[in-house]
Amino acid sequence: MNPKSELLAIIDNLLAKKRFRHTRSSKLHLMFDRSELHFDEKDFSPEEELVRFRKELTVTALNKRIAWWKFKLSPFGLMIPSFAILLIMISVTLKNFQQPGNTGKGIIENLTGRVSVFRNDKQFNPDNGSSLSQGDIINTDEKSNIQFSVGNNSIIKIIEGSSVSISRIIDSSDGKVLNLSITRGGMLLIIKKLAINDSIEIKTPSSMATVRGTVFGINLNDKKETLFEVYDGKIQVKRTIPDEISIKDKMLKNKLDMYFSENAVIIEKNNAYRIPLDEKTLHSINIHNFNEHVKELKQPGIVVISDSNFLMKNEILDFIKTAQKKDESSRPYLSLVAKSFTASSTLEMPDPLFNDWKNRVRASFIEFIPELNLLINISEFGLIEATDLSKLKWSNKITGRLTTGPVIIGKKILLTNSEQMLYCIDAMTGRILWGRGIEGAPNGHIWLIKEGNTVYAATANGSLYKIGINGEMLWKSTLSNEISSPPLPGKDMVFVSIKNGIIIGLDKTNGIKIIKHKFNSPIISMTLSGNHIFAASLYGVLYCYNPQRDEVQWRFNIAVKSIYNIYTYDEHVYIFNTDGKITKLNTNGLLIWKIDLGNAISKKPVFDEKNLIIATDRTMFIIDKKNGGISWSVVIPNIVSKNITVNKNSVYFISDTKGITVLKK
Amino acid sequence: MDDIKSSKDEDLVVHYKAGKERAFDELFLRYAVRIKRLIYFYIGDMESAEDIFQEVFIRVYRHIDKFNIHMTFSSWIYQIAINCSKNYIKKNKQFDAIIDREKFRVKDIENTIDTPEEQIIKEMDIKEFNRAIETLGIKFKDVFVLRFDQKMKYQEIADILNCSERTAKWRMKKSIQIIVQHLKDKSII
Repeated sequence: MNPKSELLAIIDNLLAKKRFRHTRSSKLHLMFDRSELHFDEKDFSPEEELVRFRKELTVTALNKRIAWWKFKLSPFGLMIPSFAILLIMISVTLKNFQQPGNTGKGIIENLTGRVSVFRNDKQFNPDNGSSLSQGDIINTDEKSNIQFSVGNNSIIKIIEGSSVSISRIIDSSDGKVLNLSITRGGMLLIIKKLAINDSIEIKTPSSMATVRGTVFGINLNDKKETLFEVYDGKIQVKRTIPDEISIKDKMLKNKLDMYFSENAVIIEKNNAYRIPLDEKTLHSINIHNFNEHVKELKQPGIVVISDSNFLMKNEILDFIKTAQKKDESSRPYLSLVAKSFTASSTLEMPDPLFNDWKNRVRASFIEFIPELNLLINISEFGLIEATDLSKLKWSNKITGRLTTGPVIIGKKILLTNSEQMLYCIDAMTGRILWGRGIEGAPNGHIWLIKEGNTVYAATANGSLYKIGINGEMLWKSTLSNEISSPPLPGKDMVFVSIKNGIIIGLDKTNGIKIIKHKFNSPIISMTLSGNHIFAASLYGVLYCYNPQRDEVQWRFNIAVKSIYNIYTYDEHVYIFNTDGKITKLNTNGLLIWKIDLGNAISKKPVFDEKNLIIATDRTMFIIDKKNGGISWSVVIPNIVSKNITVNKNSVYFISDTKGITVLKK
Repeated sequence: MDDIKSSKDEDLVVHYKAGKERAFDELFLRYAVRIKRLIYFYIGDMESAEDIFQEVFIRVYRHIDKFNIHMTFSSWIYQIAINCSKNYIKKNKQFDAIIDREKFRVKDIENTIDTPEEQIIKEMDIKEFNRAIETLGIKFKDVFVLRFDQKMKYQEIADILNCSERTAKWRMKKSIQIIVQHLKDKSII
């Protein structure tokens, strides 16, 4: 009997038993019939595995070197990698071709207290950085709130005691759509001016707000009233039949809808609008008395907001400030923040280095090219400017959004954008020299690491590319899991860490996987010195791993749960904790020094010959690398660039109040 | 070349022992997919499965000289694969216990996405189906995967698991019963 018929016979015999009566046999048959192991044979190439196996044999010294060379030099051995690469390319192309791509998502940026999300009938507690998708219902408890962004258009804060669902979220080339529905509590929104095809709508139990670019708050109170407060721009609000009131007469329903549409209001800046529930009046209206009774509906009043009646003012101001503080260059509606609130709040714009800097790039990334004496200033939205610190040398723009910093190779700037493109720009002129697609980064996050005249590009879905300075692809390797830290080029291999604490070493010449090591917990940061890899785990352990011997040589317990980052410099390992602690070890794991700055380290540290330059929230520290002593420190304005950069004499960064800022070392 | 392609597994082992390196490659290519599937069933994680897969073939390569040609090569390599997988599970028990892995899915989902019932099976019930399989004892799991996924005959299963054919059949029946009971308890069927 074949396995399938036998299976069905076993099931039928079982179902004949008394205890299995009233069982849905058709569904059971279907489940067994339609279930298969989640294993895609098309993604698995035995030939490629054979090549890897042969390599593995050499690594483990089972077959010494002779057998491997015999194999590698045979026509069959040479043919297999090409065939495997061809197969991988075909499967990747087909995969990408089949991908639907227009569902958008929200990214949680800040979360306080207890927030739960219901998704597909399951409840979970999200973290900072988690994504929210269509259909999610977000509930905030008392003293809890959540802030999330959707694309570069909107930042939304859901306040305590609220329930908000994401009814629709679409991010496609045809337009962006965001529909939210609030049934309890309140929320604050900063919405950038939308493109013509974009649409944002917020539904409350008794109204619908259409938004085209504004800052506003919504609050539902205990009397089931909805309050709108508009701080900038304007919104259109249309009343709707409240969710609590069920009207069965379709004609009456249509008439009411039409009446509400005709009486929709535009609420302008500094105005508030309160919609009462009007339950009694609505119940009293029928199709016959419609014209008389509809006038009895309370007309919501539009009032001018003042300090006394401005219910959400303080919350909104805090929200705008935190939204801006987090990463100003990527925040929507910045000009609004400065214009509208300078008078009433603490935001100010004192003397900048360049008088016109506000009109130019709000930098996300800043890089100094010593050979050209140029400071490159790149906004998250693709605007690039080069300045020699006295005047603008050139500017250019690429499409899409930048999520990772650029790489400078000689006189060329390489950067990637959210459209999965890698561009090479001439640093002398700003001209785009070439652009090529980098597939496999749907969120646009691509790590770029340079090595000589080549660059490694690692994408979120596990693709690693090696690309030449002229845009030629030298190889591509597809890993079956997400890459969790930037690629790390070593002597013969390039290393990447993927999910579940696995580090993979790939042959730098052809991208074939050679070694793999699994650590006990996920790796969040890696660095390399000599023949050793230093890997920082999510749970606060630093491993020194020798890939040649495939063994962990020592461990160092950092004694905190999260590690900001690790770097090696002059054969020493530096550990930077988010809370401001810095530890220096030698490559044998011995502690050299440890200091606590007492300030959160917010930017990637920079090394020069003698010092370590650290930017914290409000202070720049220059630390002597030898003994960990603070050479000097200075209070600085809030840094909005994602990095700081140095040349021989100066430190450069972008601040929220000063624009390009230079500190003389 | 043709000689190697058409040779039985056990003859390939003889060829390899006589110095024909390509005979081993042919064995590798013949069993690669089946062994990888089998390991994936036990581990449920593609990256770790890849490690174990390489380990299995290294073991085969190392010990092929000791292989008894009166035995079937298939049973031998399957035994090695199952042992390697179980050793891995034992070592990584703590880490893997927290991960709810879905090893089974609804097939041809692309063609049935619009069918309401199929949709329900995919999204809700398949999770419980996977959990039901995870509740099976290891001996039952062994038989289940070899019969349900690898479509092996009971005689072959019995050889691999070193039990009688009758025992293998009983374990398969029992596995189905456990899965059905689990689905019923969860009101899936």
